[in-house]
This record gives sequence, structure tokens and C-alpha cells, in this order.
Amino acid sequence: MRPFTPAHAAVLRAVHRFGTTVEAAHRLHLTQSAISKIIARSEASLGVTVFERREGRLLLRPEASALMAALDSVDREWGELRAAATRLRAGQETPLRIASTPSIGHGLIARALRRLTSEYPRARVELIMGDAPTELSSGAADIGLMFSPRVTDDITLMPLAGGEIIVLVREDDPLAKRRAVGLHDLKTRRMICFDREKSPLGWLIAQTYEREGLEYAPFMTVPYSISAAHLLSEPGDVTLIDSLLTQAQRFDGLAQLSLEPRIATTICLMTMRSRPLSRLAARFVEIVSR
Amino acid sequence: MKLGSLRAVDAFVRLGGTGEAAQGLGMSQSAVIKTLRQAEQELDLSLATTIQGRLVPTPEAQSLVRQVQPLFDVLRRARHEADMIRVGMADRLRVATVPGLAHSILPPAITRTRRKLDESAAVEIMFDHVREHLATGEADLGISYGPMKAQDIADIALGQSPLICVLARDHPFARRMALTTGDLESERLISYGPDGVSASDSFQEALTKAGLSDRIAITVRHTDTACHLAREGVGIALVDGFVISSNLVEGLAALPLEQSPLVTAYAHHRRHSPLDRAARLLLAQLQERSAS
Repeated sequence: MRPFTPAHAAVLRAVHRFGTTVEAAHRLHLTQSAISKIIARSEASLGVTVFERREGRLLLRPEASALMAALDSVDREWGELRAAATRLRAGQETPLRIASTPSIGHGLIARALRRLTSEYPRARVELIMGDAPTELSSGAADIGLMFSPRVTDDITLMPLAGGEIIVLVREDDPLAKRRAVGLHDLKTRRMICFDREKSPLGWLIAQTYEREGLEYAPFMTVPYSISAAHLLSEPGDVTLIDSLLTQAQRFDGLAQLSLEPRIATTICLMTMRSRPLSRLAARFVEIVSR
Repeated sequence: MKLGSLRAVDAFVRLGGTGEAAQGLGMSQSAVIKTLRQAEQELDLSLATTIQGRLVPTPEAQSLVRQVQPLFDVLRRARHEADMIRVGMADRLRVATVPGLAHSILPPAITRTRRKLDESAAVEIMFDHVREHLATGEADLGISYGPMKAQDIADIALGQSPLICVLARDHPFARRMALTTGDLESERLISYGPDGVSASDSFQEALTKAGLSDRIAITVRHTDTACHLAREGVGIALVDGFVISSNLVEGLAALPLEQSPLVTAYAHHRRHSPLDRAARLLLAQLQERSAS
């Protein structure tokens, strides 16, 4: 049996609407013989005669009125599907979901998204602030960006960019006049920083403290660099954060200093090995990898 | 965008691979892969990608397949309408119903309607998704346990009935006049489960109000099944009282549940498309029968 297609439905509807093969051909930009052939093929495929010829016109057989109503639905759904395909191409149907920390989101991701949305103006994007490996594994995110994450075997890691840990102090702090400070300079200061267990950056900083023979004991732990920067309000307090944040955002009243020894950080892109990327996600990876 | 390509993408996504799709479509795996690649060109979308040595559907392919299902549905409907013309049933009365009411109030009403029409009316009965069948014009009349409360669909209450307990004649309770929910405590109960699509279901509401919805051990779709299970002594079937007017409870004891909440049967039709004579007659029969 030859398949009955939406294109056949469109021709039968046009013949029903306009009454002649000539007019249907004119409206559909087809030849009259093409219309006649499609009617014959459609009727053969459906196994019924749809029209009867009377005084040079093709009239719908009375018993075919429910069939014609069904063909109207075929035409409507075909149109819906074409629109859906257009939306898929534009990235509207499969939103790009990125899990990251705010400092990566404000800098690297924001720059990549500016490029992506210029190529896909109707793209839908969801930025998730949370633990990227967890969001990826649960299927809530397509892509994760994070500093040196600990991941499972099903997640691929791609190093993207490097940075370093920097020191933020208030502008009225005596340390603010210096360009760089050592960890030993900070040992009497109240520290706002990351938790060594919950944050890969916290773990990196704690390791460096131990190598220097110092105790890593922040009085306040925070999940993100941006939280630390906003919480730095008391004179004498210091915070160690990643350098990406201050590249992306200004913090009035705060001074930025280099840290000695240098603690290098690496931003990694994460995707699931077993899950294919959507069009938008694949393009985002291309852009951000450059 | 070609229908054949869409069918290949559908099989690929739903069956989970090109080998499986080839088997399902009765074509070679290489033909499936070629069709997928053609579809990618036609649609300008990536639909399949290799992961760990295997072609798997992309998120776009999965989304496309979700969105192509309504088109496949209406194409099936068009074919069905053509089949109906071929077998002389183009002009038929189409009734969408829930299984619980299909074999109780409907059969006698259809029998009397056909008699009034000199047995000339062809009838098509379809189950479930009553609202969708009505909304898409696939059904002329709907019958269900609850009002649809939709602007374009009229709800007509047909009648009310308490819950009825159907049990085998040799059951120790069979000679009683009625049962209480307390009597049912140590019994295995058989009834309909929620259909998951109806917005309102007075049968399920009655079970809940009677405190029995968590007590159903065996759920069935059809009244016949519930009655057969009761006949075999598997348990006590809880059904609506409309069943008593049918022959489904022959050879069984049917006892009312004391202080039972009421179950309401409804008929539905589209407000703005007039019912033809057969549908009007069937509706009148349903109303008359339920009132009596």
C-alpha cells in the first residue's frame, strides 16, 4: 500500500475547497495533471473514492465528510510540525541548560552566551547555580562549568581556562596599599572563604595553607566567590576568591591583591559521556572551547 | 520533510537504535541510517550522533518524535475514516465512553435506539480519552463518570447510583440485604482504578468518600472482568448500580453498600455542532433509562 501523506491531504483539501483540479493546481502551484495523479494515488492509498465528478466539478461524496474533517486535522498537524522543526532549528525547543558557579557564569559563560545568542536569537537558555556534577548526573543540566571538580566516570572533563586565587580586602585596610601578600601575612586576619570539603577551591586553598605550615580556618565559609566578596564588610577581614570574578564584576570599596604562593585554578567543562548534546549545547562547547 | 523519514526517526528514537528501527520497519540497517541522514538534511538538524560506538538520538530527535505523534494520530484517523466509508459505516453514531459504563447503561440504550431507527444505525464505540475524542470530532456523544466543565462541551447528568457490591452466590454475605464498609474490611476488593485522564470521576470520588480507595486489591478496566472475578470467588467487586440493569450480574449477588456516596453518570456532546437524529435518540434513551 502506498503511504498516504500530508501532501496528499493538502491536495484533497484544495480540490474540495475550490471544486476543480484547475483551481486547486493554480492555488498549490502544481500542474493540473499532477493534481489528478495525486487524487488517484490518494484514493488508491485510502481504498475509497473521495470525490464524484459532476458537471465538470469534483464534489466531495457525502459519506466522505468525516474523512475530509480528518484531512483538515492532518493539514493542521503538519503545519504544527513544520513550525516545531523551525523552533528546533532556532534552539527554542531544546533549551541549553548550564550548571556553574556565579563567577564562571558572570565571565566566561556570559561572553560565550553573547556569541551564541547572536547566532541563535531565539535560543532558550537556563543557567543553574548549583553543584555542576550533580546537576549533570541528574539530567537537570546539559553542560557544567566548574573549578577542578570531582566527577564520576560518566562525566568528561575538558580544561578550558586558567585563573588564580586572589585576595580581596577593604580599600581602607593597610594591606590594600600592597600589590601582593603572602599567606603568612593573613594568619591573624578573619577569613571568609570556601569550605575545604564542599568546594574544590576550598580544598586547593587548604592544601596550600598546610604546605605553608598554616592552619586553614575561615570564620565564615561560603559556597561562591561572589558571596565572599559581598560579605566582606568588617575592617580587617579578608577573603580569598577566584580571579575570574573580579575580571567580570567590579566591587567598589574593595582592593584586589595577588597571593603568594600562587594558587592556580582551572575551569573545566563537563558533559555526560552517555548523553548526546543538543544543537545549542554543541555550539556552546565550540564557542567556549576557543 | 518527508513522512517516510519521520517514520524512520520515530522508530529510531522509540526503539532505541538503528538496528532495532530496521527490524521494526522491515528494512535494512543501512537503509535506516541513510534515511536518518536524509532527514537530517531535509530538516537541517542533527538527529543521530555516535556515543560509545553506537548511534543514539540527539535531544532534537527526541523532541521531534514527541511532536510528530499528533500528526501520526490524525493520519491514522484519516485512514480509519476511509475504512469506515469502505465498509459502509461512514454515517455512524460514534460514542466515546469509559469502560465502567460501556457495558451497563450503554448497550440497552443502543439497542432501543437502533430499533427506533429500524436497525439501520451503524455504531462505533471507542474507549477512554472521552474529552479528546469529543474535542477532535471523532465522537458524537461521550459518556463518563464526571462533568468536563469545558466551555465547548455540554455535560448532561444521566442519573445517580450508590456503589454496589457484587459477590458470588456462595459467598457467606450473599444472602444479606446490604453490606457495610465494615463488612468489607477482611474481604479482597475488586474495582476500577483511576484512568489517569479524566478531570473528574464520581466513581473514584465515591470510593474515596467511602474510605475504600486504598482498599482495592485488584483493579480492572471492565465491569465484565470485575464480575467474572467475583463469580470465581476471587473477591467482592465494587461497581456502580447501573450494572444491575445489565445482565453482567446474572448468577451473582448484587448488594448495595450502606450509606454509599453516589456515583453520577454523565453524557457529553459538543455544544456548537448539532447532534444528528441517531445521537439525539441515543441521548434520550440514556436519560430515560437512567431516570427509571
